[in-house]
Formats: sequence, structure tokens, C-alpha cells
Amino acid sequence: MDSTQLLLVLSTALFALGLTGVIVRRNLLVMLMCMELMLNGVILSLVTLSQQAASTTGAVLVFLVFVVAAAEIAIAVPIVLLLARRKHTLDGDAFTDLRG
Amino acid sequence: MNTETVLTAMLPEHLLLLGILLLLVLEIGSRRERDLLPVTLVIVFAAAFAAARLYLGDYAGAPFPGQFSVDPAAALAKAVVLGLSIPVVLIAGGEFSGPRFSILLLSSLYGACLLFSSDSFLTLFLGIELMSLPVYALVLLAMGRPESVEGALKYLVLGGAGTATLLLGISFTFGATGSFELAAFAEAVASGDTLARAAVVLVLLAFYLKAAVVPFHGWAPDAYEAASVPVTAYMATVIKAAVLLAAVRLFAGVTVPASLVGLIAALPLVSMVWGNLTAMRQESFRRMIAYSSIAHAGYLFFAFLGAEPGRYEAVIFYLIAYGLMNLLAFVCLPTGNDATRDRLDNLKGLFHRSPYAALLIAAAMLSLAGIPPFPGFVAKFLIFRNVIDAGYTGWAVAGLIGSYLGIYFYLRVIQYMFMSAGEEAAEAPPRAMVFAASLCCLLPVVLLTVFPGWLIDRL
Repeated sequence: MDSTQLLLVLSTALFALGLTGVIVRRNLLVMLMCMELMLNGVILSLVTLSQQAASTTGAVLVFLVFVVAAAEIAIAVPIVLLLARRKHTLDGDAFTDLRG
Repeated sequence: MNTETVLTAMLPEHLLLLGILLLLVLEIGSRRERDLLPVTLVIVFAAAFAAARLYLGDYAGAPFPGQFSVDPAAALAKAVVLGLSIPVVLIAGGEFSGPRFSILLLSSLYGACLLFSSDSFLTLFLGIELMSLPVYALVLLAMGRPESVEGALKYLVLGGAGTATLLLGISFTFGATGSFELAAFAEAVASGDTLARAAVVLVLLAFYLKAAVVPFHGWAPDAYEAASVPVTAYMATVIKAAVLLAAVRLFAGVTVPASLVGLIAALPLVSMVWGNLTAMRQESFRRMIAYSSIAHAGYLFFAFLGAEPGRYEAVIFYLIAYGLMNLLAFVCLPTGNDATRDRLDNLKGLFHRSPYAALLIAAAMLSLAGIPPFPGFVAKFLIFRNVIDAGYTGWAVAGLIGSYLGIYFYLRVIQYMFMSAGEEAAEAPPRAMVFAASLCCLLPVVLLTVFPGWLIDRL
């Protein structure tokens, strides 16, 4: 297996790990971290593939992903703060006002 | 790149951007809180008008070749989405007057417009994110109700997962085809390479998540219920329309290969059945609409089985009919406390209190259920006719059966309004803005009901 394939497999594994975390973990902050982990997996694969194809567009997309990830976290953290202030816990199972 | 093309082709986007800046300046410059909704309304209307002019003038131009181009189809999509947001701004009057709602709404619309003109995955990704990020904050604006924060968080986490999935798909498409152009997606669908297969499936799943197709629908009912009524109306109509129209653009030049038929037909079919069955036991109007929108996302993705020109026509007609009818129902909801106004119990005997609202909601429900002569029927007919023409008769029959499961809960709303005696106290007559919003939806609906062929010929 050459290094490109190895890196692609690694990036897919990171992505899958993040996805599992988002689904399985109940702590809100850990869920957000896992979301970032998914994005990091994507970034690794983008960097690998654009390096291989010698393309700058891929690198530009990587920077856009950084910006968007930062924006997402900037919205997510205040939401988690609001929730934590209301329920005094970060356990996702405590937030069950919406059901049906 | 020449300046004139940039100015003309991107006129709707420029107007929205100017509007955002204007609102910021107004907010900074004024000491007391002032009502910015009239300004917002003018901006959205101007942008919609500009997009409609571009469409009617058959304008085509590429201000940023390879990234951003405008053709009549894109201009029409922009005009539809911007037009559908006019009633949303009109009914926002009672709930939001500050700059936050307006600025977030305009940013989100800017993202949607970018989405329809994107030629490369870069612009597509930026458009999707620019459209969704403000909506997370819009859901949060109903902060008076504790559950709004929870709904916003669920939406954000699942939306973020969807974004990551889309990006991985984009990255794999690039790996398989060596290009970030949207046309690379069609190439990836046609190729049998493992990487290309994975890319197509990932991109498709991301779109399913953004459009709330079962089993990726978990966020929709919670986010719809958590948001206040105008924001729910915005999510159910504009965001859904934007995601679907972007998917149509992405699928340009794609004939669905046999290996993908399972994914494109089965999940939407499950979505129809599950959405319609679950909607039956909802007690909240917004939650019911959420499940109904899950079912409608199913019908819309069914259209992708059909052949190319008919696909665009069917999807955009469906989105216009569905969007108008949904808005009509939201606009006519009785006024009152945001948390209780949409309980279905609250609709009991509405006909005796406010016949105008009750009749309009009833028309909207019948149309959403797809009963002739309402436009919802024509829209469904177009979709299923295309699917049958493409040779998927079995799927079309299954879809048709699944779609008419929904009749029960739409009729239940009508039964609540007409057949139960409510308090006799007459409802206060609707505010002028709300009445204007209902007219905004009603006039096009009447037009669509009486002359559906007129619009279809023009698409």
C-alpha cells in the first residue's frame, strides 16, 4: 500500500471515528469535538489528494473548511453554554424537552 | 472577468449584500430600537424582482468562469426562493423587529443564491454553509422558549455532520476525477471506480441529511418545533427548496445508473411512508408540518429517477406549489403565544372564529395531500409521470400509495377546524401585514390552480 492510500484510509478512519462519536457519545462537548474530528479527517484527505494532483484549488478548499469549522464552533459553544446554564449538566440525555 | 457582467449577473446577490450593510448601518446609527422589517421587505422584494428580470430576459453569463455562472434556470430558482421569503418577512412582524432576524435571513438567502449559481464544489460548499449557519442562529432566536436551544443544538450537530459528509464526498470526487467542477459529479456517477462510488454515495447522503430524508431526518421535527413560526415557515419552504434545487443542479447531466436506483428510490420511499405515518400522531402543527416535509422530501427525491429536462420542471413546479401552500397554512395560523398557537387543539372550531383563515388552511392541507384540483396534485402528477416515463413503474406505484397515506392527517386538521365547536368568540381580525402575506400566497395559488399549464409551459 503506498502512502497516498494509507493517508486516505487514515482520513476515512478519522471521519468514521468522529461520526461514531457524534452518534454514541452523550456529552455535548465531546459531540462537538467529534464533529471537528470528522472535519479533520476530511481535511487530511483533501490535503493528500490535492498534493497528489498538484492542485491549488484543493488547498484553497482546506482553508475554507477551516473558516467554516470555526464559524460552526462559534455558534455551537454559546448554544452549549445556554444549555449548561439551564440544566447544569452537559449530558445530552438531560435535554429531552422535544419528543415525538 | 468584466465589471458589467459581475454587476448584472450577480444583481440579486449584490442587492442582498447591500441590504445587509444597510441594516447594519441603520442599527448602528439609530439610538432606539426601530422596526427594520419594512426595509428588509423592500430588499427581498428588490432582489426577487432582479432575479425575475434576469430569468425573463433569458440572461446567461459567467462573472467568475468555472465558479459562478447564471443561466435562466438559476435565475428562476433565485426568484422562487426570494419570492417565497416575502410572506416570511411579512409574518415576522409580531415576533421580531430588531436587526438580528433580518440580517440572518438575508445572509441565509445570500447563501441560497450562491448555491444556485455554483459551478464548482467550492462555491457549492460555501453556499450551503452560508445558507445553513444563519439558520442555526435563527432557530435560537425563539429564546423565550427553553426548548429552542435544544432544537438549535440538534440541528447544528447533525448539520455539521452533514457538512463533513458532503466535504468527504467532494474530496473523494476530486480524488476520482481530478476536478472540483460540478460536472465532475456526473463523471463520478458514470464511472465504476470504488472511490467515485463512495464519493457519489457520500454526497447523496449529505443532501438527504440537509433535506431531512429518513433515516437522516432526526433534526427536522425538533428544529421545526423549537423555532418560532416564521422561522419554521422559512425552514420548511425556503431551505428545503434551496437544497433540492441545488441537488437538481448537481445532478445535471446525470442519468441514474442501475446501481444507484436502490439508494435514490428506497430511502425516499421509506421517507414518504414514515413521514406520513408519524405525522398522524403529532399534536403540534409545526411538528406535523415537519413530518409532512420529510414525506415531501421523499417525493422530491423520487423526481431524480426521471429523465433530465422533466426532472427540473417537476421539481421546481413541486417546490413552488408546496412552498406556497405551506406558507399559506403558516400565515393563517391563529395569532397568540408562540408556544401554544400551533397546538392542533388550538385550531378546533377555527371556522366559527375566523372563516377566512380556516378556509385557506383547509385549501393548503388539501393541496399538500395532493387532492385535485389543487396545485399539489398537478405537482405530484408531474413527478410520478416522469418516473413512469423513465421506466420505474413499480417504484412509482409504491410511491403513489405511500404518498396517499398522508391524506388522513391533513384531513384531521380540516376536521378539527370545521367539525368541532370552538368558543364562539370571534378572533380579532388579522393584522394588515398578515393579511397581505396571505394574499401574497393566495394569488399565485389561485393562478396555479386555474392555469397550471401556463406555468409548466414557461418552465
